[in-house]
Amino acid sequence: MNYRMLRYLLGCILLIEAILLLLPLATAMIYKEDILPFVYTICILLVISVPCVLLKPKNTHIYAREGFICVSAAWILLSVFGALPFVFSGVIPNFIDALFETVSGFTTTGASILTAVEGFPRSILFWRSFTHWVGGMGVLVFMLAILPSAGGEAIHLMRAEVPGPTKGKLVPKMRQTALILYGIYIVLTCIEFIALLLCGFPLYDSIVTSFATAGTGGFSVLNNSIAGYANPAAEWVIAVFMILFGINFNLFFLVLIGKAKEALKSEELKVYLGVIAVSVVVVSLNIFHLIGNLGDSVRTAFFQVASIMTTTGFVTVEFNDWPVLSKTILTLLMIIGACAGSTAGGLKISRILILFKNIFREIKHMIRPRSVNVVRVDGEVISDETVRSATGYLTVYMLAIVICVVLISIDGYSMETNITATLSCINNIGPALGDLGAMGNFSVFSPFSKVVLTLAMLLGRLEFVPMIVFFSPYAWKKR
Amino acid sequence: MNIIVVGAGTVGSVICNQLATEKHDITLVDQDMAVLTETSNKLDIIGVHGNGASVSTLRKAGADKADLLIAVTDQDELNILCCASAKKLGTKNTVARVRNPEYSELMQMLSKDLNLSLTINPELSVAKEISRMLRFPFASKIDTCYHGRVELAEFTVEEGSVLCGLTPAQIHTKVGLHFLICCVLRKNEAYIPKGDFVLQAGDTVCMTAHNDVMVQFFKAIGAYKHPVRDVLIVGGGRMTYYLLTLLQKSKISATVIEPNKARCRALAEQFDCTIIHEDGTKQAVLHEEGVANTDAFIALSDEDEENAIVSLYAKSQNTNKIITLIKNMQYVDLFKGVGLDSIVSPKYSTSNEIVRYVRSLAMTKDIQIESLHKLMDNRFEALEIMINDHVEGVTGIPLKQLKIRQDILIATIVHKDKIVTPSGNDKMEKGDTVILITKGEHIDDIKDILK
Repeated sequence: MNYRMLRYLLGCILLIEAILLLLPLATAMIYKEDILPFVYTICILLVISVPCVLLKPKNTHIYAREGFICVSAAWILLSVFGALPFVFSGVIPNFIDALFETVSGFTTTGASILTAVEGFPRSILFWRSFTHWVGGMGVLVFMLAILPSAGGEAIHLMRAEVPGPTKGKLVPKMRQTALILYGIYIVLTCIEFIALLLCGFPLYDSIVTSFATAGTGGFSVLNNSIAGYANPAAEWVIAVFMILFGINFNLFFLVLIGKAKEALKSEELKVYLGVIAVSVVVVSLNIFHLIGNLGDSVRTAFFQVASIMTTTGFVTVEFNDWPVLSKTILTLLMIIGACAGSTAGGLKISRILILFKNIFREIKHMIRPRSVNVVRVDGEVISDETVRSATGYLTVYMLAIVICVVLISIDGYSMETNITATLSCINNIGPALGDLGAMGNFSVFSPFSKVVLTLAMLLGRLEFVPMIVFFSPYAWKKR
Repeated sequence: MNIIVVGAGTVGSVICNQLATEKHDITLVDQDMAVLTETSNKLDIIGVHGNGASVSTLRKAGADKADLLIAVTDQDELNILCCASAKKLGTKNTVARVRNPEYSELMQMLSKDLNLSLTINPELSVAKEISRMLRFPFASKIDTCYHGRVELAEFTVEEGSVLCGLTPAQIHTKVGLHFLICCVLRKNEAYIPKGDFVLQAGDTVCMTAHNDVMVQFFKAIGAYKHPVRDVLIVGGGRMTYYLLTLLQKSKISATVIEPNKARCRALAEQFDCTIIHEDGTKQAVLHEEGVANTDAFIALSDEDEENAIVSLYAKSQNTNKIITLIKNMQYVDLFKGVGLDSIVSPKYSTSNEIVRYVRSLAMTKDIQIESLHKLMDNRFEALEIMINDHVEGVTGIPLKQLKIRQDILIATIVHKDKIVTPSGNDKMEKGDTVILITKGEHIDDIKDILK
């Protein structure tokens, strides 16, 4: 284990967080709010990170193990220090609550323990939404994009942070790949920001809503989430952008280099859009009697399906009162999630595709035990290793859900509450059903459940393996 | 012509044999002295020992003055290299055998740059031949001429067939279609049937007809079988690879049995068909995969003996159509005698292609060879030629006034895109395509068909 390099990398991450905190600091200055919470946090971060960064180790080699540990440690540290402004400002005095809120931000979950956010300092709410944007594409990917000396081994960091079974690099150079990903990310965010301004959103609200959409997070600065704006045009814009941010970024890259046809052929994209279309039709018919107007019910269904499927978690309506069919569909969408290589959470369409195709392969194999079959996605053969890791992932995923549900059921809420709250956290969505309601208020849980759910969010965002490696003694052995 | 053949393997020796009998001067190049000596002892050729791609060896073999170099070593890369260097040294034409499927696109791209006059791919030719057979399962062998519009079909007259005891003229009146019975093989003796020839059960008949007529003919004599929809293939080598590519295009579903795990995996990754990892010679496996119910059974494993045995077994299970790969043609008659009539061989398809090419180089400018097919196990040839120019004493004269040799039959004349089964009053014109059936005589000029 190369501890020195680990320390150096973590130092870099904390330094980046200090720099990122300058943005809410500037916001505080613009709106003439208290800047001290941010100044204190930045000072603490600098004191810790600068010595780490200055002492650059000679041996810079890292391997898969270091990669996993570095990524999980980075996310935990980021959240711990990111929670400080909430505590210092007194918005969330309890540290566990503040940590829950920050992890919910960085993991792009959007589950909140705050019952009313209107009236809080704008700089604090800016930081809360900005964590979505930072966490969406990943902090380490960001570090790789700006760090000039990222060698070949940096792929371990990227692999540990970017979700889903994707192909990895877009171009031969790691740094170039990270830059392209962030470039696409920033451009899409800017387009959404402009579109929201045109829909009549205020400047500040456009910025924070764009951040929350881009990271598929879901924090809003209004108590009633997007419903509070009562702006149908903006709802369409946000819904479309949520879907865009749920698409594999590799496809945007293909479009950029002029291979749009190839991008449209992607099986994952077809399934993704297909699932959205079917769900929208079923839900809008199912809720028609509640809303009474076809246009409105389609819009509401579209927004809510997009929001849940892309694991964003914006809300325009209290869907807790919807018919069971619609609620069930939404719960299933929570599990499915969006495409691999996007900012969304969930099981990921590509993984589900592989799992389903593997079922057919197994059936074929049972009928003809000696036959040799392969799983293909987009016409390309999926290696047995990838199939195996997808089935393994499903097992770990189910296990994590079960354990989490059992642990939080100690608090005594209904089964529906516990299951949807767990799904909501592990898949990084935000809202849940049952006692929590669509606005997803987790303040009712006990501190213990909050810690469990905080861990669940981190596990889900990093797709289990890094966190499991981090907590397994096997990984920390000398050899 | 001066011809250099590089590579004295099985195909190399067959080519040498064929070309030497057609009176060309052959130089054989190989790195194995023993094989070289053995081949030059049997045939009237000269051997040069060395690497065919090295300049000094090629010079020794006379590449600067040669008309043609044929590279048929077992390495594709070496063959390509041989041709490129020979061309630089001054050889007029070059032919390379390239078998690796991964190079097929490359060859289309680079043939010009590498100065290849012709590339041959025996496995692909065999695969094409098999896929033709699958389209016409009623014939034991089928060849096409004139862009696929004229067909040459070989079939065996079964016991109790309506054709038994009829003369060609009687068959015509009975069926009422335009076709021509070109040649008949009876007890290893081949005939061009005259008017009084009576067909018997067990005869192998070769006929030509327009491709639409062929199906109607077989329907009329009650020997029609539906085109194949699913096949069972034993062996997953290169030929299977090419065949599956063709089958996928014509939407025929395939099951392949192959004992090598890596090959199975490679095929499964490439094709959307059922691949079974098992020894195809096991009866239980063949039964499990439905040998008795499949539309066609194709034995394509690397061993001739294996192919023969499993084909005979499939025959005993009354499988509809059986195609067998036999590389070593010495025992072909034996296999035909026990009822395996659809036999394919890469060696012969390669040499046929090369002989056709060599002949086209030797021909006079009056005629141009379009295709060459061997019929009845090389006893006959079907030669498709185009008449480029007006030839005094041949063109424009009704056939009955021409003194055509006894062993040559004019099977089809395509005049201005119209396919004619010729009678005495038809004539050949400039620009026509003519299909001749010969006993393998040398035809360099259209006048060679006259007495």
